[in-house]
Amino acid sequence: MSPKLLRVLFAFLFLLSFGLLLASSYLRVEELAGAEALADSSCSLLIRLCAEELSAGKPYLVNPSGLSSLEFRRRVGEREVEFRVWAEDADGRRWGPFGPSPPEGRQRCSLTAPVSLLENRPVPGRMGLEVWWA
Amino acid sequence: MRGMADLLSIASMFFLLLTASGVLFLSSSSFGLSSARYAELRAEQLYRTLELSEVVPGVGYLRAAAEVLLLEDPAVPEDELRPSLEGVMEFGLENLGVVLELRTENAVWRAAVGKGERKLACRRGALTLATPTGLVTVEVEVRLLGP
Repeated sequence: MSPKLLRVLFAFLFLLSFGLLLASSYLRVEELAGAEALADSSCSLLIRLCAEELSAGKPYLVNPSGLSSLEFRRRVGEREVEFRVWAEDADGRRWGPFGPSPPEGRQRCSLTAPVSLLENRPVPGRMGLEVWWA
Repeated sequence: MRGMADLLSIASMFFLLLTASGVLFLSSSSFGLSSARYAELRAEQLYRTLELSEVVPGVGYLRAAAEVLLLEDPAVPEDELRPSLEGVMEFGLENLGVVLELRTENAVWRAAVGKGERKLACRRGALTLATPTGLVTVEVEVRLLGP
């Protein structure tokens, strides 16, 4: 093989490897930026549910019987999300999950957070949320 | 010699490009998923849970802890409150360390569960309690700790 051909071959291989590295970095950045946006939207959604939509008279006092009647597809910021939600108290009583099942292979964000659930009286519990882009 | 010089210059260009793309890749990983907002959210939720949930009818966890700190005869004795409170903190935030601290000018009361060295989030608040000597403000702090 002539030295000239070898040089061209090397240069081509180097450029190809660099192009692939650049492309994979770009895809990774896109993926992480999407995940970050989804996590932010999920946090906003959880706050909105606890402080407003499921509020049993006081913000952050959650009425668990309202979980089943939520609208599970909605706009958060500029994009639409779908979610499912569940709650349970410290004695093991559980509500849900309510909402559609997440699609396979789609980026998802799962959150759990402590909440105060209104049963006969306010009791400690936790609420879980699984969110994905609609 | 000229062929070797060309190869070396191509290789050094490639090395520079590889370094640049490596830095780009690593920096994209290191901005990461910011868990700060999630930790803040959980600290806020835990604070509200302790504030609103009742350890016995009509007495919330934070109020019960403030009474243990300030009163000789609290509504819920400390040996009943502490295990219940620690159970709530563990249940709400598995795998994290949680510290609840109530403080007045003269006294501190603390409950802690789990392990963690790094402070992830902190939620501060206050509540006022009527005591035989008058109204006393108790500062409350909920800290989340992680590895």
